[in-house]
Amino acid sequence: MKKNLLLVLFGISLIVFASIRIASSNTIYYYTTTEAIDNITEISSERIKLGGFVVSESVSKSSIDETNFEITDGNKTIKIVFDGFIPELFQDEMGVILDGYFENNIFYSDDMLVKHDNEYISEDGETYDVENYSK
Amino acid sequence: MISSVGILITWLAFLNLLVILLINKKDLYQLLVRINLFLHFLLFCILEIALFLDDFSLNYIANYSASSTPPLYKFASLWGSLDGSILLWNLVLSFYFYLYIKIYKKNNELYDIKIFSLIIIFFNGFTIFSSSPFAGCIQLASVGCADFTLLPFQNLVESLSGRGPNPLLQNHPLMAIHPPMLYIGYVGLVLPFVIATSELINKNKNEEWIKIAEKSTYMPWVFLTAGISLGAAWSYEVLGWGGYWAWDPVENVSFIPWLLATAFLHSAKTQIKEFTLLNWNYALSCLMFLSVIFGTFITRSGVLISVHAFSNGNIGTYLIIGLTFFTLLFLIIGIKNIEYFQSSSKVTNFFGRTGFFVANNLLLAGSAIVVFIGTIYPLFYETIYSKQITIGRSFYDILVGPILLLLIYLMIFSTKITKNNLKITSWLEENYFEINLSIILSIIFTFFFRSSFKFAITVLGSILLVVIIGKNILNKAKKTKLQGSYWTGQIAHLGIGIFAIGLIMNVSQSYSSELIISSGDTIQFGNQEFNILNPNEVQKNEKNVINLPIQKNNTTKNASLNIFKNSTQQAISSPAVFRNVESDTYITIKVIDDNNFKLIFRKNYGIFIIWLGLAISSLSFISRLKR
Repeated sequence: MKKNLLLVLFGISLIVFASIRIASSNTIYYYTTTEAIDNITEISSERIKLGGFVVSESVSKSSIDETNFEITDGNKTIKIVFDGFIPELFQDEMGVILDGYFENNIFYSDDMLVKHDNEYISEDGETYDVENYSK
Repeated sequence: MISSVGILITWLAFLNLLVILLINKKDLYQLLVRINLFLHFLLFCILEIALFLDDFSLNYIANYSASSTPPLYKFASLWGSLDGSILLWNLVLSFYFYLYIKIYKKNNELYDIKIFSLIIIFFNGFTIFSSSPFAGCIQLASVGCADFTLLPFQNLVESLSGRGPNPLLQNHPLMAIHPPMLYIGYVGLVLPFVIATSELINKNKNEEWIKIAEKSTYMPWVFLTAGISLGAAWSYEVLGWGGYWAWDPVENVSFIPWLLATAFLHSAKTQIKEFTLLNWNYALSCLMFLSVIFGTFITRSGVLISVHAFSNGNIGTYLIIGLTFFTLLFLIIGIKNIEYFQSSSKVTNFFGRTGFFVANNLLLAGSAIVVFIGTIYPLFYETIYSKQITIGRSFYDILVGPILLLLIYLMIFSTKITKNNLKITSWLEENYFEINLSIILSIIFTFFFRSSFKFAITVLGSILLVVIIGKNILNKAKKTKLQGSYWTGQIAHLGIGIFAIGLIMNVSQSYSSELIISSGDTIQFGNQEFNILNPNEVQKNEKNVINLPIQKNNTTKNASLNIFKNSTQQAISSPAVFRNVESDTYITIKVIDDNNFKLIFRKNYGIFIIWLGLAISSLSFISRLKR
């Protein structure tokens, strides 16, 4: 009985250990614009999620493939080249999370999550709450 | 008015449940359990009526329905968000309570009634103390309701129109079937929990419990399989990304109970036939339901980001208390029964049925743990490093993939496993032709499609599984009807084999490309020609739809962009799907720019075969029905 229990515990911890090791090497990180710029050399080859607020009047469309805009967290600003589906909600000062990668300090993305407030929360640029994001 | 009636009936149901919990009259609970089912059915009906009457004085309806919502989606709005879905949850739970009394209740003890009523009180209490779909609106927002009360007979305010359901949830009729199916599956796992804990609470060594627990797990398993499959189908048809499974947290937490239930359906047999693995079976029969509560906690408390996640409130704390309570109950009863567990026979013959079932259970439980860790890892990471992350799907591909492959190889032998031995020689002799055929087929496929070892063994395993079990079933079906749990298993295994073949085709062969087009163009994709016709815009009550008709041969289908009014103005890209047995052409609009469209063309292989396999597995219950 005890032997079996130990065996099961050993098995479980082995699986847990292996999964955590593999999980940590398959992680996609979220960065705010400030964090991204501070770590830009480390993350330039990785696919990351970048969050921020769309800078007013920065949105322009250069071709069907490319929408350009900037996002900020109130501190540092990053140029975005976006090729993908733009949600109807997308507009100036909107909170967005972009999925993509850095190249020459420009962030290329093809996947956007826009903050949609089911709760009609007041405009609040300070608290950056990712939980209410949806495609 | 409806708000007050709803709240009062909720209280009535709560009091009725308290009476069931506290009285000890055996002749009374039959009646009370029926009353409980009736009251919960009544609550369900009242909310449906309120939805169809557009009673916007109810917070829930003002926020998750709208006058413009089409009838089918009004009906489905009941489970479109957290508060309402708990009503459906409670109804299903009450129905199972009634079913339990009627079918499974055998002994004279009342522990089962107490535990069952405690569980319903827990979920019913949520609608009383935390948030209820009948909560009346006392303060309006610009659209919908901003503040609500849980007290009856208040002065309520009524908004003019509702916010409408989440656009994702009003785009496909599957939304009306998938969640109820899933709930029937989920909630049904309460039965083995109640049966195992109540039978062992008094150290009542009645060996019937495992049989009843196994029987009661089967139907929930069928509904869970069907519910998860329908969810995958919904994702494929609605979300426009061309996939069907994303290892999203909500998908994961439906998969964990499924894995555990599948494990239990096998391991229970070893106890019934050979009196082995007693402790393991006890643990599984409880963990199935605990994993359901855990799943609800993870997905409904807002701790994780997910497409399915409803907004929160204090449900998180509420669920964690429940989870702790029921886990403690499970542990304490388990510890009390250590002697009973020690009377379990040892597994001695590892090449007989028990050995195979042990291997199967280790693999299924192992993948449940992997999926569990993948789901909660981001939570822990965020708590420790205060940094948000998600886990890439490669995590699951690396870990779950090989486990499922091993399971397929175990299933191949399931035709010929007897109590003590796998009759390997007679298995080889009987399937000599099929084995050779499978080897030749997989060599050919590997050569033509993808020459990797991993591909080859996966293809070989899946083809073997399908031909060997297929032949086994056909042979038997010629002579007589397929009856009994052996054939249930065989049919379910056949379904999984077919599913695996579809999956391999899908993963290895599919491709896509992005094309910029304007109407009138003819596009070549995958050796087929597609004519792009003129787009049109349809204005509906609840949405504007931009349709882009695409013609192949003589069939025309619309790729469309749904832009929803009200609420959040989200746009959803619905695919035009040209279906075929071996592959679909799946076209979605990515960007619209005046008269130019950027389309994504996807060639998705094996989709039909995946659905076919899952349907066969779900329908395996037919051979369990009594004549």
